[in-house]
Amino acid sequence: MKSDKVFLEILYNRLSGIVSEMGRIIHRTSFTPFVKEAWDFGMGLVTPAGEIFAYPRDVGVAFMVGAPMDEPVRYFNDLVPGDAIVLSDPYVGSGGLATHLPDIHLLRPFFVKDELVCFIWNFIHSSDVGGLVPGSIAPAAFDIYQEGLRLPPLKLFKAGQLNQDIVDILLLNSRIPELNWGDLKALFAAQQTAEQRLNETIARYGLDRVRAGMTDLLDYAEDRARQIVRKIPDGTYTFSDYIELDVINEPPARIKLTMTVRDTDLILDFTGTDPQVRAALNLVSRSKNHHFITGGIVNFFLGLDRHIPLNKGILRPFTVRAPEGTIVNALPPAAVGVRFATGVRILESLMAVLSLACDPPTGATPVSGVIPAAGSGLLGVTLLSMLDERRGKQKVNVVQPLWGGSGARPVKDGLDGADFPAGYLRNIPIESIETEMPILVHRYQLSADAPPAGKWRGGLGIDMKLQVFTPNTVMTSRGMERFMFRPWGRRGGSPGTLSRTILNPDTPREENIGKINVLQLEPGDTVQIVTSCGGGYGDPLQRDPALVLRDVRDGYVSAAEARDAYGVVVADGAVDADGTAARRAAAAKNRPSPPAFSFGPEREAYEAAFPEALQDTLCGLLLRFPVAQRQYFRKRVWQKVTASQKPAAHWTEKDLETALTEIRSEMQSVVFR
Amino acid sequence: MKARYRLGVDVGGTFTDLTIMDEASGRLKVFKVPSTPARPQRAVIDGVTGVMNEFGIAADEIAYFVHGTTIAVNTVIERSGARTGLLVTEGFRDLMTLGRSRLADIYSFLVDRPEPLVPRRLVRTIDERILANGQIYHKLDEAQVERAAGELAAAGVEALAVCFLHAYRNPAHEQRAREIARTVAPGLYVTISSEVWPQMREYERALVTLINAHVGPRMDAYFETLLAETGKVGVSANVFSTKSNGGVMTARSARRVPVQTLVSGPASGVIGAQYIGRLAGMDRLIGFDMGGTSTDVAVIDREILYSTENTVGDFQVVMPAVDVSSIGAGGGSIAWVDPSGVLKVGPKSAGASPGPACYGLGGEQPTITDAYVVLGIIDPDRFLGGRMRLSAGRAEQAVDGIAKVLELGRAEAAEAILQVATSNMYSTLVPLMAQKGVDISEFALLTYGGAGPTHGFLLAREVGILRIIVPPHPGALCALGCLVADVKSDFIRTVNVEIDEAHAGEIFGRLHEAYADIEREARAWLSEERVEVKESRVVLSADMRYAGQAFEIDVLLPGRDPSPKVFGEAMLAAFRDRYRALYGVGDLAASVEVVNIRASVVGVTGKPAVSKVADAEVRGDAVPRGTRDVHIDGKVWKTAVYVRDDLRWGQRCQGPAVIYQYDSTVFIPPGISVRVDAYGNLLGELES
Repeated sequence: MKSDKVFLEILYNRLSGIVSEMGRIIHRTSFTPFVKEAWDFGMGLVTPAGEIFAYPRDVGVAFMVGAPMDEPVRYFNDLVPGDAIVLSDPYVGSGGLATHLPDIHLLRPFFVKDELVCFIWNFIHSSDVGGLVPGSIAPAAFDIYQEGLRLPPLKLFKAGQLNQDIVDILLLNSRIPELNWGDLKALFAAQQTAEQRLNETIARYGLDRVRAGMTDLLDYAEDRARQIVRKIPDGTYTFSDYIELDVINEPPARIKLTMTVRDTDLILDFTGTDPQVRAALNLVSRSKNHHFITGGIVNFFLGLDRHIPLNKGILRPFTVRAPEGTIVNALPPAAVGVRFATGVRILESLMAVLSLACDPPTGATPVSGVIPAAGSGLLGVTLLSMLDERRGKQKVNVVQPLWGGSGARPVKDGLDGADFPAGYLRNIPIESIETEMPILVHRYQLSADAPPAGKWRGGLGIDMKLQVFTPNTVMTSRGMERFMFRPWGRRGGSPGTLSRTILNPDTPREENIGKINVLQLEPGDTVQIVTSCGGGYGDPLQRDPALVLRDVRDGYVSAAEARDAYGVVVADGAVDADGTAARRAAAAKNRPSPPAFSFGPEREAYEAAFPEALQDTLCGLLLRFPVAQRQYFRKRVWQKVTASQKPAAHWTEKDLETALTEIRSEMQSVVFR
Repeated sequence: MKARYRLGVDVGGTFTDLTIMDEASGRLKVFKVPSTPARPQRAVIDGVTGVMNEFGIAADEIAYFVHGTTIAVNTVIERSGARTGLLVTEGFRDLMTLGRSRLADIYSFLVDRPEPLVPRRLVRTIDERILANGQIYHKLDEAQVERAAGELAAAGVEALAVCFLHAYRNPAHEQRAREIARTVAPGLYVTISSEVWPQMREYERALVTLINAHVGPRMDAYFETLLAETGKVGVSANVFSTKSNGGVMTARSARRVPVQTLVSGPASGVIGAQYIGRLAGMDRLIGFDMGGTSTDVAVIDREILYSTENTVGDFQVVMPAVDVSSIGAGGGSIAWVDPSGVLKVGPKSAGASPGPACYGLGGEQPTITDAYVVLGIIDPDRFLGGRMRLSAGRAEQAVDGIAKVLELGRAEAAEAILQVATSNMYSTLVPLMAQKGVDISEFALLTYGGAGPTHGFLLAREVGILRIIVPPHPGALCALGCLVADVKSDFIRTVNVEIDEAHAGEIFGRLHEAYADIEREARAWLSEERVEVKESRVVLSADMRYAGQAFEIDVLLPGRDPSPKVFGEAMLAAFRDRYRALYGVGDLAASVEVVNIRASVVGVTGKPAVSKVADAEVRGDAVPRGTRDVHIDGKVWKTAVYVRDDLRWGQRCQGPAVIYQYDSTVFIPPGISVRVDAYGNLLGELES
């Protein structure tokens, strides 16, 4: 490092101020609720090599500090002062920066005289860029052409001149052109101010010092991150989990992650992950050290070292290997709108392998104690579309963004009704919802499920029940998960609970309808959505009886559950110490040692019928088929395995080969007859 | 003629500060007694009698008695108030747990949510339902209320908060529930949301209600005995309490709505800052209040900026309050070196105890204050007018600890601490001003608090502020503020109406009526305060937006014209103007919605006369008492030392200079000069 250690901190503070100021300007001057209320926007300063060297900690989305920009910053070789690049398409020139079409990115090269010093980057999530549905995110979209306007890297500004042609195309393709334009102008304003601040900073400290400081800040963050990684025990750690597809009769797509820790390096290998799907759940990562793959690690690092500087340097220890054509490294024209759901599952999988490394069954490491069990694993956005009687127009409203409880932490309980991937979001007041729409929300509180047990218990999900009164009301939903498999518990903690959707609960017409895609509702219909609880952590028999008593008194846990799940006997509003000791001693007898993860009966049954080892083999065999057909072959094999007389555990590679050959010949017999 | 005095009392954690102002001259005198936390009113009475004895003032010469207390805010922060119960609508039991969801730290897996002020076991859900339009959909189950109130009282609850859905629109169920609760448990302190702050958004409204209930019994008892005891010592002036909105109210009101006093302390400081700014001829100010444990800023852009998201302990309170934001930890912030060898300052603070190393109270880590001492800015023998001796040796020892790690000399390390601290402030202040839409270069920095004048010039240089004001008594600005505050209260109604063209006439009529109503309520409040005011006014405003937008803007409205149509059109015009000012466009092809209507009533109290510090201006440079070595900007400067009381109107001091006074130290870096204005303020100008 060339910079002295005092200037480094001064520069870090300055640059943090500059990027945070950009965020405040966007917040203040933007228009759409997604930007204004949900803070779905981001900004940073980027080196000419494409690494973010300054990123705000207090405004905007949490995960994008790792966004790869190496390709867009090199896309044009004729940049001049006053240019600005706009882009939204994940497949052309974006290199993993853009991951779905509603995110509109703006990159402005910053020059001192004629010398390129860095890029100023920001983006907003536009609430509509055309496509199948209002909002542009349709879970059932099966290729990107259905998802709205695609913008490859284009010069939106040329030497300070706005290219109105691009603006005209962009706005014509949106259902909310004026609001989009307002949001874009917020991006321009923020970049202008950042440019002015950078000039001031260079005037005060000199170009050479500032430029050296940019790269030194990245090295500094990398150094701090590697100091942490060095403390993680070397080894190879494997974990897998599933994404529930929004399409009926599809087996869930598996994400398989193997992490190898070698001194200060981490290798993330996704070999064994299922093919990309014909639904909007695909992630375009380009097999890079990508924010949707490594973003969650920021929490882990900051949990151990609060003062680590926030920039791309902290992600340099990672190498990512994601096979092409998988759900974590999709190829065109895969649809991508709901890639956040996949991102959440990747984040949890990365936490799982880290947890294996950092929190071994016996003995603590210097990095133990910060990684939770699985949280609810969902971030659902539910929309209601109904006739606005007064205006005679169809109206679409977000009812309430939904998530469940967090996983229990190694040192404390999970959060009730809050989860980390959704931690940056705010909910909508029920009074506002009922003012906006002619509906009644009968309930919005914590779910009545018993919280998943553990030394530390999982966080409770949310129970929302609403009633509609307008004919032809349509409810759509995206990002809802954990209807099939529970969030996992860790080291003896119980798994979480399943999410569920119930139509007309407590009536003769009651029906459990699972995951909603598009639901038609009649006047008077009631819909109840209950989100999953996060998993528990550690042995429930080791839970402090006082905490069990507190949960009993607060109505979270019944006396019977206290006795059965925790071995705690509660009588007359107090803990019966002797009874508890006896009960716990009896329960502890002849118990097998706890598994690393508890997945619950649903996943166990699924894997008994379709074992993981067989899935691994199948993944390899599928590579011989075109990317676009792999999902089909996989589904058909799954159907054959589960329908077969032969127990799944006895299936061999040869059996799979035979099955695939059969499936192919069925296709060919139709095609070439 | 009998003298008339204004007495201000500020009850703090360690000291109870009293300020007495002669109404005829505007001169201030200060007096301090130790606080008596177990029974704070005792210190107040001790102080009042002390002031009367010390300055020879008779009880009946005290014409005005204002009282600021941190009891309510401390009760919330410590959660030490009444055992509180809560009644909510069935289906919403976890209203206080769920809150608005966003986590305080989105980068931590170990983050906690604030524990609600009421445990879940003391929340009862009640069968009742009112709709968004105010209609009763499901009648209140009175038997259930009776049972719940009885059970909660039996569980030891002393205060009860009630918040039902849409009660801002129709308070009938809440009012009835209160009646029932009072019958069941006559001693219960009951607060209902529709009365405390009838604004849409159930969590925010419930929170305000709950806080009011939680602090209510203690504040009620406090004011009750205070009034009785001031009466006993012969003070018959009306007792006022300061408010978060920068105004004052009578103690009688404070007993009913103590939630309105939560951030009154910092608010008073801003009122004082505005007062000083006006004297100095500047009305666009950034108030910079740097003390030992915190550094706060506030904006005065001709008018004081208010905020409806005020942080109190773990909570965000929506009632309008003077917008004060913390930007750091103050003079006690600790400097340290991270494992990569990088220098950091804060967020840990040595606080008041043990305090900086130089206090000699056991602190060993270097703080910003220690850096001032090492650099020669603070003279250890003259800190706070010599009332507190500092140890230069301990400051040096502490700074040497990090100098060694940084491989820097002692002075270089101390200066590095100040540079990093200043850049920390940059990183919070600059975005904060952007959020408020303030162009920093057009504002003057008004420095107060113990360390404000010490650090203010350094900060101004860094962020590009060109003008600085140091008031005569930087340590007593809060006290000054509460003596010059007006009687003020804010009112709100959520109306949720869309002004669509087809029904504009009818809607204008409804809005006109609603404003007439809220104005009546505001004026009734003022007359019930029974305060002598010079003039009174009601300021109307509205939270408005274009239909379909998710956010509202606050729009200041003209007075209510007798014609609903004229008033309605004026509302629309005011909205469009404000919208254009904020976003550059004004006329969107959408109709306009009015979400909330607001009224603020202000009773302007008489202001003390202000006299100039001298009859005539003196020209030329002030005469220093001596010089000392100060290390700054990488070298040692022979620095002039002044005493504040020596300085006369019109005199100048050229930086580098230090000015000592009893409550602060002013540091003027090289290249900056200050002059003394007619009111004793120091005015500094930087080159742009």
